[in-house]
Amino acid sequence: MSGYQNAVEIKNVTKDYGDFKLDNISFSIPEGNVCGFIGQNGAGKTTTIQLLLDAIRRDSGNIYVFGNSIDIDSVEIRENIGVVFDEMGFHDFMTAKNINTMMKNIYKQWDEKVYFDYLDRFKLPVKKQCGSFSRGMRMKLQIATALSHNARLLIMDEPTSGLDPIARNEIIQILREYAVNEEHTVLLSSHITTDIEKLADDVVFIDAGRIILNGNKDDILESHGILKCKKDEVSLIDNKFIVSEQISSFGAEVLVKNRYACKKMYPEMVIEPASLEQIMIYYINKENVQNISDRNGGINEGTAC
Amino acid sequence: MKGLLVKDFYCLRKQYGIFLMTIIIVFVISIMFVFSCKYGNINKGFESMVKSGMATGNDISYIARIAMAFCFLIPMALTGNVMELFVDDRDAGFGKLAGALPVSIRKRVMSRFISGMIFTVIGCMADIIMAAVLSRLTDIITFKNYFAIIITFASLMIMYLSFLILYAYILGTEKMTLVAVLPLITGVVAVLLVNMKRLIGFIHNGIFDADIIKMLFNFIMNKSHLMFVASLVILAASYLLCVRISDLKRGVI
Repeated sequence: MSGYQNAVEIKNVTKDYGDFKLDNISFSIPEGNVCGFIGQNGAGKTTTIQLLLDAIRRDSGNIYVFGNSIDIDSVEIRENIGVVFDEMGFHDFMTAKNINTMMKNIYKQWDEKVYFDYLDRFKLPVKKQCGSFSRGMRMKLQIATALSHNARLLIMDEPTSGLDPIARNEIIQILREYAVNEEHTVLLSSHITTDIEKLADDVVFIDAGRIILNGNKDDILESHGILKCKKDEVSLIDNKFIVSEQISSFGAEVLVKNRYACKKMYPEMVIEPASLEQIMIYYINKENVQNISDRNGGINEGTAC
Repeated sequence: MKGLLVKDFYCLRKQYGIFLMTIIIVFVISIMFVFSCKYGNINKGFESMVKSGMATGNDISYIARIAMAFCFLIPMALTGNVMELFVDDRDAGFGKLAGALPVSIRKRVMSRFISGMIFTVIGCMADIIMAAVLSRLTDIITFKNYFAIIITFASLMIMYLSFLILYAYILGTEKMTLVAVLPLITGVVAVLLVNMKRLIGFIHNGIFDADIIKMLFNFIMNKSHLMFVASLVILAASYLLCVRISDLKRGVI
């Protein structure tokens, strides 16, 4: 075994497209973990994945996969990575059999038997053109391909979006089976947080090209909570606990961090556990409010000058 | 890289059928042309042209050779089908998947050149077989001359392919119509620049230098190897440039 502990390490990576910037992001995924990569559409999840695969050029920073820099031998690194994208990428006229012929000439460790076993298990026709497959079938075909060359790292970019609950559940089940092996690491990018809650050990939350939250999923869920109170009570809460709040005519809901410390300080207030989805929404809300106030501040400063 | 060639083979499967049909049709037409030159209407037409003084025996021979030569261009002209590969890959979104495969950029570009060259090579081989058969049926042109024509056309096709792939990498797959036309424009501009003196002479005097066709024919017969070498140099330069562009535009093409 090599000496690395993290299957993936992303350090201070920046990629500037002009209208969008992935801004100095850093996170790592320990080997054997399932990392949920969450964020709304356009947050920078796919860009990060493309950078991780060395499929696009980064402006700065370093990326290591299995302890090796992707600058040194990205081709060899990709031998150990299985990737599932939101769109299939195979030509519509290709059959599952054609894909096998293609892939066995690409991957050194391609295992035909495993591939056809997966096709059999997923009930995918071998000789039918994949252009006629449903979205669920296309996703399963990609998963079969990604898992048939002994990949140690599986990267999935929105694999469950647009799928019906049954197909989603099937895919989650496949991922669970894959993740059982301690040598297998998964980076699961999704904006469907319920899937992440079911599967992930760690969570990396990205928004507008910046990492907002990063850590153990259970710790994140444990430390955050939704505090429910009257509108005028919000001002009583110490700012150090508040992530952001949503005020309606019925009252206020506040996402708080350090849930237990907060509960201790305000025992009369109700604090419920927060879901990942709620955490994501409140953090994005916080960012939006901050951006607006930054912009207003900028205008005010300008006026003062 | 082999896997990408397999994928390209699947992409071009339909084209191979058309390619084969074209070769057969061209072969049949060439044989009909040869027989007509020998015994048929073309022969009669040529005889009457010579009798009426419209053309000499030599002129007739040139016309027949040029007509034959064009038949040889057709199979190789299908080299342009390589464009289909870019379009198919774009439509399938294969670029994103390709970025995740353990294949280097160098090999990805190489596979595209090899897939394009397949048509030129098969076309060349088909032409050589045709030349071997036709040269036995007619004395219009010898096998050696046929071979020179084939080499010239192959060189032209290699140059076309080199520019086609290069422009595809420069402009991207969204502008494939422009990509298809630009190599032809490049060729025409190059020919005009090389023959600028003659062109100016023609514009000034209004007299077209009739010897130009004979000169061209003589060049093909005697110096086709120079064109072939030039085409290989252009091919190598195009490959190196494409690798560089592909690396710079990673994730785009």
